[in-house]
Amino acid sequence: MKENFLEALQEILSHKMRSFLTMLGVIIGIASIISIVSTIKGTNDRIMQDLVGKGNNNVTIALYRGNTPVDFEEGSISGVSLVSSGQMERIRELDHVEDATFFNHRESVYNVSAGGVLLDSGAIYGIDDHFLNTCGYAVYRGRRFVEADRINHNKVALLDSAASDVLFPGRDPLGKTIEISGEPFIVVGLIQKESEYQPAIENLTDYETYMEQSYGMVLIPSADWGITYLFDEPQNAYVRADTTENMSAVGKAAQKILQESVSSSDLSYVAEDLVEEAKEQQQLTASTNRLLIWVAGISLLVGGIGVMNIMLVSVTERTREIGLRRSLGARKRRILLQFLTESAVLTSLGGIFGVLMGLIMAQVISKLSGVEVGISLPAIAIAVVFSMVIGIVFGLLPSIKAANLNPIDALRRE
Amino acid sequence: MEAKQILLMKDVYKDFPQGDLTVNVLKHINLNVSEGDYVAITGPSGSGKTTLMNLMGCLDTVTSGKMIFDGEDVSTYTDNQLSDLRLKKIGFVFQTFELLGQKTALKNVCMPLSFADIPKKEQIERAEEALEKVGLSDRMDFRPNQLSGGQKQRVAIARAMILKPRILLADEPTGALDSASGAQVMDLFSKLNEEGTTIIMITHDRDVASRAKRRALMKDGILSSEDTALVPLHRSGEGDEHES
Repeated sequence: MKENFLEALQEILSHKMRSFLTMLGVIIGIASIISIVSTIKGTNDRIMQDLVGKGNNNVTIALYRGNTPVDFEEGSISGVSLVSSGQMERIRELDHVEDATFFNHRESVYNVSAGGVLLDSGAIYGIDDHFLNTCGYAVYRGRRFVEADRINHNKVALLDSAASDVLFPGRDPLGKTIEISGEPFIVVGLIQKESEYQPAIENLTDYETYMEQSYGMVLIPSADWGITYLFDEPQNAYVRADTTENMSAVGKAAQKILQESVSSSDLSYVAEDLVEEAKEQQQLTASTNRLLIWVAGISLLVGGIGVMNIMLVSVTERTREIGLRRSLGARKRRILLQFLTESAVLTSLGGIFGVLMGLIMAQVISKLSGVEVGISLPAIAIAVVFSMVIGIVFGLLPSIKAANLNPIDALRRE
Repeated sequence: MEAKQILLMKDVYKDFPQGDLTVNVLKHINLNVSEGDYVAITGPSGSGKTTLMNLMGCLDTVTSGKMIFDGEDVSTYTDNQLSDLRLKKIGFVFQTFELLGQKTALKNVCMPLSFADIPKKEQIERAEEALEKVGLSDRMDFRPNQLSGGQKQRVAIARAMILKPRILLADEPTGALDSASGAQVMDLFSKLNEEGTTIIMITHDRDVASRAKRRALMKDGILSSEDTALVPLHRSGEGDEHES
């Protein structure tokens, strides 16, 4: 077998130009498939990263009425009791949960101001001790909330840089007062995302999305929530899973525990399953690209026919050689294997070159369009094996023709 | 002591279809070759020499009659059996050498060994030995186009002899050579025959034929010889039974 392989390689190398042109169909076919597959994988990795967050495996569990999240601005909500500290502990102790936080919030505020300047766009959160850790925020100036703030209902607040830029342009907000619904709160610290939770920003769209998310955040202790809003307002939760893969499972388990607080039939806690959502989006892109793979498959078919054509020519050209081998005592099977090996080695080489070219093409696509590419090792292995199969399938007919040549006619041929 | 019989052809006919007609190329061939014989078959072109050669070389099968090779009736052999027989018991030397151009002399000689699935290392050793024997130890890594005609034919002889065949078949072995290298090849044949190799040679050349121990003439598909041990006379009436 090894000898067959070396002989085939020698034969292929003795006609470099012809061999290359014969391989070209397979090279182009495999290269297109590899570049498409790499692009799909890159896009999918990207969707997962964008939607689910790089390293931040947070699941949001929010109170829903029917299919929409409850708008807490509507006023008092009955049928939901507050999440007990027992429930909180059980959620934090679930498998694969790293941390969990329970909070009240308003997505858009119009009641926060400082010295007459209104925070026109931002969110306010009433937070527990786990919020900063769960969401990946760090206090970079001042202090975080402490036990005394909770016990004494100290009216203190943390701001992110977006909020402080609006409320205190060009000034140091630490120790200054902001008003929330007319109640004065003292700014005790400034927060920012810890760097490991920074989303990947590579183009303008990413940047804008990121800026919207980080537009104005005001945090106050959950104990103070009742000062400006309602004391018995139900809380939502963020639960951080250890890995992205575990997000769905963790979300479902936490959702179940939170649901115990709900006695009303039209209300329910729902885990926002970003992983599922990401998978749906991935399938959408994959199915469009699968069509492209079929198109590339046609070029492989054409390549295979080209290989068959050249192998038939090669058999005719080498009729005397075949006759000689047969007269020296080679069985038909040996001739068949010789040509089949040659054809398979030819297309396998084409496959390998195709993979290399595909990877280069994928890099070029990535540079031009900004889409990331991912290298899929199984796809590469399949591509090479598949190109070998093409060689065997399309080499079969010429090889059978070679094996069945009559040695006398073959030797007589000039 | 009677020498062992190697090739016996008895009442052999060979027909080829040509359109609607059937052409009798060989008629009533009788031939008896024994171990150690050196036979030359001469005859004009078109007389059926090559067809006879193909039959003797087990490249083709007889239309009718019997062919016994080394004690076995090969007229009913399958293609694989014939291939194995050619590999192990028959060596071919052709007028136009039939070396593979992209292979070195050594690799050309190795070919039958690789068909016999002999390990690579042993192949090389045996091929080197065989090339030494034909005086080409300094030409082993040369390709055919770097060799003279005589050298090419000696490579071909080394290849034919590599598996120590029972019989060496040569079809016009000097036909493409100048007289000096032709003589060299003929010397080699004589040497091989002295060492015990049975040789059957087809040739136009009377001088070449004269070097053989026994001679037969092919004419119009009929083989004849004064040497009745080589070409047994058929009894009268026999052979006319064949429908043509």
